[in-house]
Amino acid sequence: MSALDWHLLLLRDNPFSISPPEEAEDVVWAGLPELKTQIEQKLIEARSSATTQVILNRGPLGGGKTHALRFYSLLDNWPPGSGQNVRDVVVIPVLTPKETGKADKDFYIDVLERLGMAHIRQTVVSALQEVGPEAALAALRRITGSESLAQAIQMLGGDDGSAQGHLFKVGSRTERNLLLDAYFLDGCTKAELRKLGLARNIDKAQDRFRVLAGLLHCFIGLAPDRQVTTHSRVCLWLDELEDLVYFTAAQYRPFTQGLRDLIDRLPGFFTLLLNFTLTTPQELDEIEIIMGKPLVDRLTDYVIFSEMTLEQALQYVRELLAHWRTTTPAALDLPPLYPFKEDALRYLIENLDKRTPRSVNKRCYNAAMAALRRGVTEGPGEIWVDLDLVKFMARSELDQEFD
Amino acid sequence: MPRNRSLLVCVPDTNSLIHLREVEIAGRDARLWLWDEFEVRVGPTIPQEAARHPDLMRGQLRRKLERSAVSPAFDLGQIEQSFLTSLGISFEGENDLGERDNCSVTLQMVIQNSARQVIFLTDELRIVRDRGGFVKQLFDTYPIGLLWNSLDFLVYLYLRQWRFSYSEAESAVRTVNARIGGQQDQVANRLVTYTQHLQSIDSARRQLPTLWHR
Repeated sequence: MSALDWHLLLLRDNPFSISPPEEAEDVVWAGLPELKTQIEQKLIEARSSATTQVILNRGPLGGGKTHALRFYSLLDNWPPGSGQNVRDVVVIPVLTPKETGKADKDFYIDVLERLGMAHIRQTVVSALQEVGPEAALAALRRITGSESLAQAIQMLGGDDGSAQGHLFKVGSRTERNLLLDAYFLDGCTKAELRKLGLARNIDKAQDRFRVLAGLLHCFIGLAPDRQVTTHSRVCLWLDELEDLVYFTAAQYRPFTQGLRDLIDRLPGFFTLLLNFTLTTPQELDEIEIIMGKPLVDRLTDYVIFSEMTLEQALQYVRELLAHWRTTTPAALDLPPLYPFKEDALRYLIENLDKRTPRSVNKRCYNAAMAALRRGVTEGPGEIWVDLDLVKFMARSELDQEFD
Repeated sequence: MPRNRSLLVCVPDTNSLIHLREVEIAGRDARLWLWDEFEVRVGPTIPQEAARHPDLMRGQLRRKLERSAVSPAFDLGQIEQSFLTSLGISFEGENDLGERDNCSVTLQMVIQNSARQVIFLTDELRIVRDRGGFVKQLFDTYPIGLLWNSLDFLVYLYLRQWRFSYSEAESAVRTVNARIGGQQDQVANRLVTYTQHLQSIDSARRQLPTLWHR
């Protein structure tokens, strides 16, 4: 259906997407004020405290967890903190690695690529300048538990004219950065390691998470105090953690051990958000089997993405439509739920198996499509999704998947 | 009546043998434990299917599998015509040939008293599902034994073998469950269910350890 067709319904385009938009700027929040408040309470704490948070976001498929991740990956959508706030918040959304050989390595690369090596370098430079190279090296050694990994991270913050310049003699800054990028992302040859003055590559899973801890701490700030205003907050938001069930033991152990290690090595200014889909109501002990007790033991909080009540769903649709209007319906003496008659929308929502945003979107989209097909000769503001239409539609047609 | 009890027979499918690869139990390939615990018999197709995965079926395992192949007295067509047609089950070409061979072998062994009951080991979800799974239908109609998947076998071993530690068992279940695959909720529910089985056995082991120390 084209944007023109949606204009007939006083909408800029399809508001009823099945998956949230890829770009955070395109993601809107509609309805569900209680859920929004629940999430934002955690984010306010993130902005205004030094506490490390490990938050489990649990709920059914299509319940809005990925939507929340994308919405809040944009800092503009965060609530202001209360009182004194951290300098900055860095949100890193990452997918749980899929069925691949080395889940821990894929995760490590994903985080680095998400941040970008140029950004990481700039951040390390700032972190080193803030506390000085010796204090920085000492802090990195403490965080990573490794002298060589600490030195490697410190090198990222060096330049040709700096104290680290003597460590290797490579022609241009670009070539040095390329070598360091290779070291952190992929690995170097023995000759390249010698040039860098490093003993070995980052081969072990344990080392990858130690490096991540060191790098993320540079974003947080290396000052040893816990003053909120002199540090930043890093939020690592992990989506689709339920896919852990597809990990063999050889993939599962280093990955979950790595996450635990990361939490333990970042005792302040770190937020780990874990999106976890439950397709059946599962008790905590069942989540524990899938995630592992050591990880569950480190959880500090939960956000429950429950199914909507009927009234919540109506509010959700009303606000969603409002975001996408070309013209306010009131200007044409139309109700705010236009093109839906309220009784038709109630009917659509009442007998849903699962009252999640995704399933509501699916029904609304299919009903709107049917109305447009029926009212093909009508003008803007004249096509309705009414009770006769939705009752006439078969359940399979109402719940049909669309792209 | 025969004087001797016939054997406890296990008829494993190729997919189970593949899913149990690289799983060690008390220092030994999990698949070799099949031969320790049961009389293993397979239809003639299974060694041929196994030969297509030489890296997964090396050495001792390959030889044992070849020695366990049986050539039943009645051919597959006769057995399927006699036992499955009445259930409305038919096949196209060589689809599911390994499993069909194993079903034929199972029926003939039980009826001809080579086995009282058979443990039919397969991870092929489609053929054992409640609606439309032909092996499920067969076993529901003719009481020839039990349907197990590889996870059932692992839990069985954990129940019987004290040397099989809980952490080994948990890892084995996680790995094999991931390999069996399926829809996310199926995989998750299986992992939870079988891990809970292990936990129950573990609890019993702790409370009554002397039962296992014989």
